Amino acid sequence: MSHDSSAIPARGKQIEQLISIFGDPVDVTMPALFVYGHSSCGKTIVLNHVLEKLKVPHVVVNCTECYTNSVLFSAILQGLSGDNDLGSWKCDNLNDLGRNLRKVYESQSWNETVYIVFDKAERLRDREVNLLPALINLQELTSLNFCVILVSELPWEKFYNGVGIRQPFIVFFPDYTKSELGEILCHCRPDGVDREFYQHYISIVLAVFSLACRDLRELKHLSELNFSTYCAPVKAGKFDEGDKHKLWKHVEPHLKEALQQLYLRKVSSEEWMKLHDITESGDATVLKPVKNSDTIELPFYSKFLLIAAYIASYNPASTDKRFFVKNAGRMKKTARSMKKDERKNSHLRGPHAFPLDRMMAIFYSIVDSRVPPTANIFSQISTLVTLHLLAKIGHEDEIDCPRYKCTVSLDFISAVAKTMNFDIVRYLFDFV
Amino acid sequence: MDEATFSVSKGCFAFKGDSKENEFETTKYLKSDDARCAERWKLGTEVWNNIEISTNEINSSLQESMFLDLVKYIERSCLPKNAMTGRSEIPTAALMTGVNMPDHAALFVKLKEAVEESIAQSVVILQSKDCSNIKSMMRAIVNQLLGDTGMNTSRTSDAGDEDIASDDLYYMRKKSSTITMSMIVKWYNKVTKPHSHGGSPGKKRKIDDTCFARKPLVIMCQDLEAFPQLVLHDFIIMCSFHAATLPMVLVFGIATSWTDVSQRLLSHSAIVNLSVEKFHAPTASEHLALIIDKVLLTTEQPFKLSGKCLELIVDVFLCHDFSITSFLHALKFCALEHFREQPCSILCTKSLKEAESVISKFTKNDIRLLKSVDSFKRYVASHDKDKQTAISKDAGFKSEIKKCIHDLHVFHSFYFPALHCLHILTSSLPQYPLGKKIRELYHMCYKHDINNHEGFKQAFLLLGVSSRDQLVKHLNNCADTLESFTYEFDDCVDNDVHPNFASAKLHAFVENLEKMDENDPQPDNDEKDEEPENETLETVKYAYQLQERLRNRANKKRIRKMTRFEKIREEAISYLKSFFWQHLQRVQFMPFHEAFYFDSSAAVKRHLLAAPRLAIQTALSNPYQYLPVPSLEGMSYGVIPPNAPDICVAYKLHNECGNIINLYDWMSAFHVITTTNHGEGETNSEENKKVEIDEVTQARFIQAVSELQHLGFVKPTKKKTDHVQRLTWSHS
Repeated sequence: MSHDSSAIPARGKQIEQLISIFGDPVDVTMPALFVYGHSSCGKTIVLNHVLEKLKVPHVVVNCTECYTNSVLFSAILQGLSGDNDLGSWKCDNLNDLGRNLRKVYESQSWNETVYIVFDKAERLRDREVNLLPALINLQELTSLNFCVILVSELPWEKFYNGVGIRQPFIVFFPDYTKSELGEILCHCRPDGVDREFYQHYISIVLAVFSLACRDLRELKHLSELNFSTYCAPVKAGKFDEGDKHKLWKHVEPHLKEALQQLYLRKVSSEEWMKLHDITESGDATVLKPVKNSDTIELPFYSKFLLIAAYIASYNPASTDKRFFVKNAGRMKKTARSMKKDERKNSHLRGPHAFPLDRMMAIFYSIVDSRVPPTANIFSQISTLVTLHLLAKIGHEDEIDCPRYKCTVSLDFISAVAKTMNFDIVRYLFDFV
Repeated sequence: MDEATFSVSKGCFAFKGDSKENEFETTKYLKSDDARCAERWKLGTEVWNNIEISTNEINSSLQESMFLDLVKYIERSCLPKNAMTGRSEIPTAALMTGVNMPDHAALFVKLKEAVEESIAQSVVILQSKDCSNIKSMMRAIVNQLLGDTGMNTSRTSDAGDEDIASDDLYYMRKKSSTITMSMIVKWYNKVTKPHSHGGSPGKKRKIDDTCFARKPLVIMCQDLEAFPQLVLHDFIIMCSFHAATLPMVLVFGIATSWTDVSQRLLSHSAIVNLSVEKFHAPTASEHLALIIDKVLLTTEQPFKLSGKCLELIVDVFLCHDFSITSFLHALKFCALEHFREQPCSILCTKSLKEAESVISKFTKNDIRLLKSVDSFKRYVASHDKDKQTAISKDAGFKSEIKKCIHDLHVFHSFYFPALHCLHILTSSLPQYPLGKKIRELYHMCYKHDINNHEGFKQAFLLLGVSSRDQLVKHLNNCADTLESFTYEFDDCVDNDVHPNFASAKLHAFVENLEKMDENDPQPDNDEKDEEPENETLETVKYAYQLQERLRNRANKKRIRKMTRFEKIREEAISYLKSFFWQHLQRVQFMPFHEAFYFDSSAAVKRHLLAAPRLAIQTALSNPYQYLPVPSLEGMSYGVIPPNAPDICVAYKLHNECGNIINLYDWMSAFHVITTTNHGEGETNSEENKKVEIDEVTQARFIQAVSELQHLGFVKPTKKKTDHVQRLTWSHS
């Protein structure tokens, strides 16, 4: 059987392999296939393409979406039977599944292989231990011509779970090479764009990004984002379409900037376009810095609570006396205390947990005015926990002395402290 | 109870309580000795309703633009994608809501209404408390969807439309059934499918096949931060699965920042499926400033907060939660408390006429109550005998009170325009001598006499050295502010300090200042006189003469330096000073100001600022507050009566100990106190010491200690066995 390789570029070999495995519709295929490869390397699309093309009965279930076994089973049965009623198939265990599959198989009077595809199959590992082995042996258990295809991003070794499990036939989807990436990106070019022109653009994009990122989705996102910038001078009539060098010079700073924010998705595609539309209308070469609105406006005491939490998290408890007690007496300067142990630098080791009492003690000593100990103060702590600026350590039921960790960064807390005119660095043991 | 069951067997029977809630009767809670209480209550609720209406107006006008943007975004994102942007990303609006979490519920409900009104058919608001796992999340979505379109589907089934099978609906309604995203998608596609045949005409909608514009399903996550990470991740992955077939828009309510959320909460594999646009909700502090500016500090609302109370509830807002909802609760409390407690609040009406009609209906009892109002007593005392006797008569009192209330109305009608005017004038001065915000200025004017206030003097010093451009700008602003108000009581104030006159005068100053441009070279004449004196300096013999002359010259220079601009400036400033001095007097000196001003900050503190620790401490150290037993009265002076509650005895004893407490000593002390019999003398207590401590006392003691431990006063320590550590500081 031949196939049309133009629909899915760079995956011809895998398509051939799958087709040869599947064989004729009536042939009995291998009971289980395991398709794996890195994310976004075309597993699902190739499988769907092949199954659709061969016009064989099949069902694709997503294991993320089918979050319980019964949902998974009824999704399979519904998909195969073509029933549209919700809840028409109720199926709670594997035994029922086998029975019902037989029912469906007979009612449809199939004689060809029926394919059941489990996308995101790694989720099946979290279910009962006997689920995976049973699914792989489905052909044997039902003695019907089923072929189970597991699609995953993890290699098969990660599926061993201590129970005997038969190894399925493994189909590996290798990562795309750079030229394949170029081919695919070119294939997805927007309508009405000259192939040659776009290909050149993609080669620029790949040249900038390929060292840092091979992820097709990210590259596609980036190439779509920046294409309008690339085209702008051509549209404006400044350069000719063939003027490759000038176009390169024009788009390079934009791409370099995008490289800085690779994977972060700080700005969405739409915002990016808007931002660049503005710069386009003005001066195309000057890039406006992305407006950073990261500062969080917090109530007065919340800020101090957060600062207190930060100090409690990053200072050893033994140094509290030194920072917060007036006339703490002269510290003995021994040779040992002078030499700081770098390994104990808490900014390298991350925040420590601290009890609530300690935080409150620090809080009362850093706030200038007398703070009435009202319930509002304590409710702010739980607000900070909800905002994930603090993290609660230990069980929920430890109510007598809850412990917390401060999860904000030094930059963040410095910004907060600055708004309060509080010199936090003076209170941090690591910087003294 | 026996009659309620028909069962012959013995056992426990659970009865459902009355489903209808007891009507809350406010009149029960009002003071019975005061006949006008119910009337005041009515008036109070009326006043509060007015305040609420105007705050709601402010609220919706603030949020309007943001809602409009969001609705537009949703509209745009559900348009058919052209080939260029054929991504299967889910359009997502990240709504930066700020940290004022109590307000968000109302915000999202309003947003839902706005979205439903304009485009989307189905809007779901998800809260993190419903979404601890995927199953409950799906359940919450379905419940809201079916609740919304329940009417819709019943209508279609009436029409005999079999598309939406009732079995499906039944399945989805059933609480036990598990829902998946694909079920929702399937159902949604069915519901929103255009009905080409039959159906009710309202449902018919022309849909262009080429454009394929369908109403999107909008899912809002109200408090994104609190969602479990895994659930959110799975949810986004599921949505992205169906993004191609189902028009869907997500709205994330984010209290912190997008960077924080995108880096901590959402994994990269989830985020690639979103196409995010950010929106900013109006900040709570802006909102508050508007409420104070437009509702509290105006003549519109008769009810007013004293400077102290306003400061108190604004402080709660700024220091604690940034929540407009709680601020309005506090304000409501103040308003209703005012009408409940203050007898003369019956006069707190919007128009003078209403107050006058109330006054004319006063009974003897009312007059007696009103005579005891502090400010009125002071007022009476300040008058001579004849007048006092006149006022003490009922008719005289009535006419006097009418005059007082009239004066207050007049005072207010000029006070607030002047206040706004002064704020405009001083809010841009360096170092803000009178505060940045108008509420600070109000508080200052309420508390201090502006004539003697340091900040006021400083502000006018600074104004006195302002440049011409600044001055022109300031004067223009002032005049504009004064003109923006309307004045009722035109004839009740001297003409030269009437705001209308003032604004005309300010305009005249501005005109003069601008005219000065043309005849500028005037000061040159003066400088010519200086030159001859330069020579005389050389003829001086002694140093002191030189000093004297220099001083004289400096003085002369200063006097002479008064240019025309400076003259006008001084004139303008002094006029403004007298204007403000006239209008911004302290209201506390006016009789019956209590009718309008709520000044009981103690009540606010008691009711709104809960201090649990303090309450516990009071209860333990002075149980008489809660248990009115006469013998407990002495607890506050340090006496420990034997019949005090065990925990109080233990607490008192532990207060006398140091950092670490020996349990045995504590217990013997406890034993001594609890077994001291009344009046049996010391011999008995000495005997007791030798006697073994009985088990009951031991048990009582241990219980008391464990209660103290639970309350956080002591904790067991590993340093010493049989000892506990004190967790509070001792007074000594």
